[in-house]
Amino acid sequence: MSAKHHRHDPSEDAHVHPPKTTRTNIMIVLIAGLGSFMFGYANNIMTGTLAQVSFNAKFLSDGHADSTTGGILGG
Amino acid sequence: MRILLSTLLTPLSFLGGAFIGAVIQAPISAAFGRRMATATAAVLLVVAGALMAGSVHIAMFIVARIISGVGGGMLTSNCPVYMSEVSPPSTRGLLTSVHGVGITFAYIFSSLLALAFNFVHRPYQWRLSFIIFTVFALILLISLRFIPESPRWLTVRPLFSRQRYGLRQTGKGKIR
Repeated sequence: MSAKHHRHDPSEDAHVHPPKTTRTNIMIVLIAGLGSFMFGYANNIMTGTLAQVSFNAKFLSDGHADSTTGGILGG
Repeated sequence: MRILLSTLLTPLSFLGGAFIGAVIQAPISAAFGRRMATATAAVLLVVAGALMAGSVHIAMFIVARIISGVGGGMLTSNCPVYMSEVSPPSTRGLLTSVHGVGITFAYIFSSLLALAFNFVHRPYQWRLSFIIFTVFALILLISLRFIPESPRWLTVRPLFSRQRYGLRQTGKGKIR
């Protein structure tokens, strides 16, 4: 194929370039990402809560705070 | 006794619930679709978040945390599947990595939120994180209305869904 050949073939183009990103694509990625986000939030919400003063005063002020912490944190 | 209780409860809480959720999401996802499995998880998270935010006793809190574990397990095994099924081959790897990015972002976000609420000197201080958690779970539940079902699931489904898939391909049908 010569360098002067400028004919544009859309079917070849679709092979080389990925499809265009639409607003719907971005929305789907964000919503599916929100699902992953909720897992991380549910997993890690305890870490900060165990350090809150009011939480310790309410739930962890009795004798067996260690075993309770193990039960809530759960890995 | 205390050590025994701790040993039993530690795996039973969040990750124990996540184990149950990861197992039961497979039949739900296969029979009712990826969106419905995510919606089930979102409902569980809303219930668990509301229960944790309104906890009056430590037992109530731990039970709600197990429920949130079930929801979390369903999400973490279902979201990458959905994401890889809706993404085109050219960007599939990039888009599936959104799962990991989302989890890490949530870790940072929830820790920053805990830091912010640390300066609220009220008895309901620790409940605020869980209220935000419930709000996010509700947003997830409502936003599922606006995303399409996984095309791969629709094609492996029996006739009815395959017809709907065909309608979507022609652009004349409404996919829900």
